[in-house]
Order: sequence, then structure tokens, then C-alpha cells
Amino acid sequence: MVKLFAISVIRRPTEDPVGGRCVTLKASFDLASFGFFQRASVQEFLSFSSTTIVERTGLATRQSVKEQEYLCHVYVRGDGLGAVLVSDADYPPRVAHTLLTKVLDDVSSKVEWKMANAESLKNYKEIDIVLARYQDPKQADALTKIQAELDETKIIMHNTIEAVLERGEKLDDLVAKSDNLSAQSKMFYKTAKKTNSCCNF
Amino acid sequence: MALAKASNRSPRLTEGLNQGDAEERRCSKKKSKICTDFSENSEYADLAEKVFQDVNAAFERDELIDEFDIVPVESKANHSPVLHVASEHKLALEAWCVPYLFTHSYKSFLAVRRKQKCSLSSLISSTNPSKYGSFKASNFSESDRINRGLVLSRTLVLLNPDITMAWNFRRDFVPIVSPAILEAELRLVSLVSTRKPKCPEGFVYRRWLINQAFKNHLLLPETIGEWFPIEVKSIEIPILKYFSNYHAWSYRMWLLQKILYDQGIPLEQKLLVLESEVNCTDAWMNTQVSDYCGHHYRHKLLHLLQLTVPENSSTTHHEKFIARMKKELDQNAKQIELYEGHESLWCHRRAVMKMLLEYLADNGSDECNNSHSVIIKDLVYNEQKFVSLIISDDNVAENSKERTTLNCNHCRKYVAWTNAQFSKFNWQLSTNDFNSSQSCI
Repeated sequence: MVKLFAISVIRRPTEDPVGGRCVTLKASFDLASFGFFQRASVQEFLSFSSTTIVERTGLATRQSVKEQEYLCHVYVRGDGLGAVLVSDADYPPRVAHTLLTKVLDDVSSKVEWKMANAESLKNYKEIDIVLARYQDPKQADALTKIQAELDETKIIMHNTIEAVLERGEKLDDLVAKSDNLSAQSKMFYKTAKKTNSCCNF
Repeated sequence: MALAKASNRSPRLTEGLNQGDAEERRCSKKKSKICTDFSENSEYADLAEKVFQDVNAAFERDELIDEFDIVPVESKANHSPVLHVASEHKLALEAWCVPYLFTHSYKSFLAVRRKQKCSLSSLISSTNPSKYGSFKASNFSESDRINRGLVLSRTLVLLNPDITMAWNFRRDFVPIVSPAILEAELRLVSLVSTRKPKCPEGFVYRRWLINQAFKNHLLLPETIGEWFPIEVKSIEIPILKYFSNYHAWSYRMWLLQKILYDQGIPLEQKLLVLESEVNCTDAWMNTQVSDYCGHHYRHKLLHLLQLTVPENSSTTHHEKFIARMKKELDQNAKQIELYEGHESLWCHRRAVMKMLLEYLADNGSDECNNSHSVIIKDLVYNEQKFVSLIISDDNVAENSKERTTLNCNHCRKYVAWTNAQFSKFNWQLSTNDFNSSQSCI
């Protein structure tokens, strides 16, 4: 299935290139394909993974992270404005990165993002439109100008989310420490981890 | 992100009483000890019976429940583990209660089944009825017992749809005599497939239901335009939930063939059904690029389209079919360009191409022969153009190199395969540049 799950725009501090508090300015989700009772946790995890990855992406860098059957595409611009797009494995990565550029161009042209927070961007609806419209990647054919630029940019590929983390960091620890995940989501994470692993006794 | 898989691969509660191994493991040690002591401890039977009644109450309150799930939560407050969101028609159980509920319903269900076989008196001596909560063997009439068996089997198939016995009980005791009953049963199967989209037993039961409905004239040929789309819609949920869901797709094929081979259904109706399926999968094909089961269905669908010839219009059918196949190849080419490196797309191309060429060879009567060779020549030209386009992509786009290379490899295999298969049609593709290969044709 070709599907987009989430797009979020995140501000990353420029002074402290490694780590630092990231602020999610705007996020949009399409969780219709998940079970009703899982949606809240899935959404929390998508936000959590998005921020985690942006925190570990350098300025002016593009990355694509594969985790199970999901792909997480990140683009952080030189000025610290970043965007994350989570899609399934079939969604063309090229189109995904094109969309990231488009979203960031749009945000920076329409919004005072340097001072903004999630509250002040409440009325900015552009991302929801992008998420709905580009579920069909053919729609992106019109964005050829961005695609041409993209071909000259290097995209770093990672095969797991663990590969993005810094030395000594573990995803389990990050999940356990996080304040943004509810107890139920953490429980979901544990269960999913157990059932997804091949043999556990 | 890891958690999203939980619904598809949540532990299977197999093998009767040893159910929920993984589920149990998840419980604390203390809890699993309680579980093994279950049969001796009627306190837990009461608890399970209470949960069981809550589930039944939810079904009674809300007939339209369309999603069931088991959610892993830690139980802290003393409240019912049955989560029912009536406004959205969703039902869920907290994971900790599942072992209790399953063991209890399974045992009670066995008792009900056993009674069916033995006489009442021998039964009372063989089981201790007080063990299973409100289930008192002595004051149970025959119909009460069947009703209890039905609600028990409903809970059982929800928790573990692989228990054939529970489905069989429903086969024996649910008379499919009215549209309302049929609808309720179909809804139950759909509900089961929201948590276990790949469960074969559910689809087998669904087939049985449709057969019964045909037999009892509940699904009439005249109203096929009404019930067929509903049935297809309900089958699309498990298809979307589980990637390459073989059981769902083969059920869909079964249903289609049942309609096409039914003598009582007029030909126009069959053509309408076929057409609606082609349109339906058309939209689906746009978003699914690696679901080979779906591609196989599509392939068979096109084959059925070829075989079902309307009366008195064999020439227009012939042209229409060739146009349809060309359109299919066009769509496929666009997808291969956009979604690089998906083998199932290439396999689908092979299948379509083979079907088209064989069709042309079989229907090559003398007067059409000329036009056929033109069509084949045209096909080879287009195919060469397409192949060269894909191959020439090999040395651009640094960022998606891996996928592009994969795509080129699939393309080369495709070229070799077609050249070998279609040699009798004068079919010769080359993997060189388009311009240089022009001279070869």
C-alpha cells in the first residue's frame, strides 16, 4: 500500500547542533488505517520518533530512516527549520523529499516560524492539505523544479532507527524516559516489541 | 512505530486450553499461576463470567459493532475490562482479562457441546455445574443451552477465530433463514477479521453463509447489484489491513466465480458484476504496488473478462478486450516508472503480456491475421521504447540508486523472459539504447 501517515514541522535549535530541545510547530496525521484503539498511541509514537530523529539530524541534512515497514524522511534546513514525513515502505522516497522541501518553503514564506510555537500555528492548515493530496504520489509530478534540485542533494540512508541514535543510546531507554508518551503507549511499545520479535521465551 | 504491527501479529491464542501462551507470559508470574489454578478456583470463574456477560451486554446494546481489539493496558482501577465506544461502534478488551475469559468460555462451551451428545443425566454426573458461574446444567432447557452455546462461540471466535468447533456450532444452530440473520452473521465474520484479518476459518464460514443464502433464496440474482457491492466492501477491510491477504483475495475470487458460473443469473448481470470489479480494482491498483495476491486477482479477472463474451457482439468484444489489455500495460508502465524496484509489478506485466499474445494467437482467424501482426508489431515497438527508457535510467539519480538498479535488473529479466517465451511471434527486445535497437526490429 502506498500511504503517508504523518508530516510534522519541527524547529531545531541552531546554536547547539547536537541534541537540544526541538519544538514541534505543526503536525498532521492520517491514522485511518490503524485500529481505533491504537490510534492515540500510534500518534504519540509518530510524534516521538519524529522529534527523536530531528534532534539527531545535523543542520542542512536530509535523511531517510527505515524501520520495519515504515520509512521516515527528514529534512533539516540550514536555519534550523525541519520537517519529518512518515510513510510506508512503498511510497517513493524521491517524492517524499520533494514534499518536505515544499512544506518547509511554504511554512517559512507564510509564518514567522522562528518565534512560533504549536499554539500560534493553530490556524495554519497547509500541511493537512499536503498530507491528503499527496497520498497519491502521482500528484507530485508537477513539482519537477524541486525534484531537479533534489537530485543534486545527498540523502543519508539508515536501515533502522537505532542507526540514527548516538553511541550508547538505546531506543528502549528513550521510550522509557520520554515524558511525551503516555503509560498506555509505553505498554503498547513493549507488547509490540515482544510480538514482533521472532522468538521470546 | 513498532507498535503498529501489534494488531496483525498479536499472539495467536491457539490450542484450546493452553491458549494465549504469549498473553500469559505477559502477565506477571503471580497471574499465570492463578491461571493454571483456574479450574479449581471458582472465584476466577465468576470474574470471567462477569466479563463474559459484559461483552454480551455490549453486543446487545450495540448491534453494529464493527471493530474489535485487545489492548495492552495495566489494570489499576477496579473496573470492567470491556471497553465499548458506542458512538463509534468499537469494542475492545483489556489484555489482562483475556486468559480468564478465554479459559472460562472455552470450558463452558465444551460443557455445552458435551451435553449435546450425552443424555442430560449422564452429563450432570460428569461435570460440576457450579464451577461455571451462572451455567447451571439442571435448569437449562434445550433452547437455553443452544443460545448459551451461540454467545459462547461468538466470544470464542472473537478471541481465537481458529477454533473450528465454535464456527461449526454456529453452522449447526444458526438457521440462515432470514436476511436479518444472514446480515448479523456476516457482520460477525467481518468483526472477527478486524482483529485477525488473515484468518482462514472466517472466510470458510463466510463461504458457507453465502452458499446457504443462495440455497434459501436470500441472495437473489435480481438484486445482485445491491448485495454484491456490500459484500465486496466488507472484504476490502481485511484486504487493506493485511498485506497480500491470500484468504481474502481467494474468497473474493470464489464469490466472483460463483456468480459467473451460476446458471440462474442472466449474462448481462454477470457482465455488470465483472465490469464493477474491474473498475473497483482499477482504483485499488493505483495505490498497491507490491501486493502480489491482488495482482493475481486482477490477472484472473482480466482472464474472466476475456472468456465472458456477450451475445451477438464478438467483434466489439474482441476490440474492447485488446484495448483493455493495452490500457493495463500502459498503467503498469507508469507504475513501474514511479515505484521503482517492485517485482510484483514486473510479474504482472509478464502475465498481462502473455495473456494478450496468447489471446491474439488463439483468435487469429485468417482475415484478422493481418491486423494481429500489426498489433504485435506495435506492441514490440512500444515495449522496446519502454524497456530502453527504464534501462537508460540506470546512471542517473544518485539518491535512489539502489532501487533504480533493482528496477533495471527486473527489466533485464523481463526482456530475457519475453524473448524466450514469445519467440514464435517474432518478438525480439534488446537492452541497448532505443535508437540503436531500432535497427534490430
